[in-house]
Amino acid sequence: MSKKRKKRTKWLKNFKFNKRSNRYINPYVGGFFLGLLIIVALYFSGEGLGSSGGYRDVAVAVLDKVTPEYAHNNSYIGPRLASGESPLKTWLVFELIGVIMGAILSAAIFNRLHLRIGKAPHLTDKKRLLFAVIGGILWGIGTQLGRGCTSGLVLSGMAVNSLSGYIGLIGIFGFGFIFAIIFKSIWIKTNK
Amino acid sequence: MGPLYPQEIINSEFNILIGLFIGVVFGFLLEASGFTNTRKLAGVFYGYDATVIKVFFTAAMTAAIGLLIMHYLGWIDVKLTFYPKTFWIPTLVGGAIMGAGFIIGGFCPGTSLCAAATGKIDAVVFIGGVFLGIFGFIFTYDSLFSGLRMSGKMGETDIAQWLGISDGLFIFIMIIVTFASFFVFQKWQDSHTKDMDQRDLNELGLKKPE
Amino acid sequence: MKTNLKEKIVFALMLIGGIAVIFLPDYKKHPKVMKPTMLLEELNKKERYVTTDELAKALMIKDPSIILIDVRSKEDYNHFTLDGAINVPMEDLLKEDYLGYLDQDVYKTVLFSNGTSLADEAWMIMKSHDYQGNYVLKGGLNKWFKTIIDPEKPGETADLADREVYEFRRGASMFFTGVSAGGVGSSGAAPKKAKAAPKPMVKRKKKEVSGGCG
Repeated sequence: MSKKRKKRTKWLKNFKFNKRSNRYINPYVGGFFLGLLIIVALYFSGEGLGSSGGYRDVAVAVLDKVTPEYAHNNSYIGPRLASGESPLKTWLVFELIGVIMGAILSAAIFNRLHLRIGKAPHLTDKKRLLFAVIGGILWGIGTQLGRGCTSGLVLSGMAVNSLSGYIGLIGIFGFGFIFAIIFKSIWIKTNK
Repeated sequence: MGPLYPQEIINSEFNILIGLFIGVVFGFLLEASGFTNTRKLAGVFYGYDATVIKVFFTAAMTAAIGLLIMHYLGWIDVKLTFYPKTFWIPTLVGGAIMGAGFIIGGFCPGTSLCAAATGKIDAVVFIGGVFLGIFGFIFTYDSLFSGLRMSGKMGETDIAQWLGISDGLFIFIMIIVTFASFFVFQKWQDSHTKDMDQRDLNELGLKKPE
Repeated sequence: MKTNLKEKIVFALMLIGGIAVIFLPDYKKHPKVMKPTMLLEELNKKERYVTTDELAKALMIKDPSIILIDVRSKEDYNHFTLDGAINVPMEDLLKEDYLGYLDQDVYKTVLFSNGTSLADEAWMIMKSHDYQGNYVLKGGLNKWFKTIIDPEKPGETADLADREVYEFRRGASMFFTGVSAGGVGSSGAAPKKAKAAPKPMVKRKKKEVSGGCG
């Protein structure tokens, strides 16, 4: 076996069998490749990386299946169904399918595919799930009102110097720091 | 010259295939950077983990530099791409709501999808919440949100031109800000990690400052 | 702060890139020329035409989205033009000063000349540069006079629709000239009032992309 091959297996071993530590790629390197990916997405498809748009498309498709009449008459989603094309056959939905595949791939390589609840140790599971659903609802409303989420609105917006992206940045992270003080007990154990 | 799909240089099937591929890389990078770990995400707001800031700003600035250069070389016309229209009031209000959701829920939509895919139960619940929120928004759009969502309309506004400076100068200033924030957040993180339990450090994938 | 080699490379690239971009020009729309086949296709579409009746109706209700563009020469424009029209002679069509009027998606810009052909040419030149939001006044000023300012009375045998059109035109004529139809001579030009020109719009992209999010 060549020396190079040996080196590679050793590298894999480090990730695969070292169960005690979570190993992540260098954040700056990850960010750099993420930046290149934004450029690729804009170059080929003219789309920014996004998530909430795909969520909305799925929600629209569900409503179209369940109550087609209501969906077509709704002034928010009706226009999206006007063309007659399936709302699921969009770039964003396929991108999200890809995201699922990519995440599983990475987690498999780095040995992170476990069923578990992620939370701060002091928080009970029940509370964590309750907070997760509340947070989700807020995101659902916020993304539709603000026209996008952290990736589609802020990241892709900042990439093209759009004012909207920077307002989103101030909104999400600026207010995030304020809310962080209010909800500190969710993440940090306080001695009471 | 890009963007290819909006100019109908590639067909929609191929475009969607590219979307799938981009999604795979996107998901991989998010997971590999640790964005499925909700404690890492929340860590940026409490200072014990600067990963989000590092990844996020490096990505945004890399893309901003690359796109301006490519636009100059005529490889891509950024004005033909997804260029967000600015509606500043709903974006600010929506952003604040999302900020609250970030702290309470511990994810954003993209990261929750990665986390759910890799077996985080809280992320599955979070996604359920997102759909509840979207349905709620759709049902109450006319009575509650339509006026607000359309207010503060500014069109496709470029922040540099809005500030009255050149695009390149703005990006340069942002890079200085980025480097400064890396420095500050790293210091903040170090101040936490230096007396953190080894168990917590392992879970966050961090090391003690040397 | 300790950094390893990978980080140093990323930082160096960002710094070099950041300095390099200072010297680059701003984001601006690239000039784009349409393929001749696509242009022909566009030319065969009739949607670009606005009839004199439609225009009269829009002007009477003071539709704020309408901009009138006179593509004739400066002399002709000074001699006579429609109320509120902006003069953009053919040779100035692609000048950047007029971009805000001629390439946007907010207003309906109606081009006119004496007949149809000059305005149509102007429309085609702009279309070949992918300008948006432009229309052509069918028949031009000649038709405007014939139908709106000095409408022809339909014969006794004319059907109801024709009479209605005539009634409308007579009303329009009074609106634009202040004189009842029939009493207007060939010089019945509307007095040129100074009307605040609409604000030029800066904008555009052609194919809507669905948008990353939201």
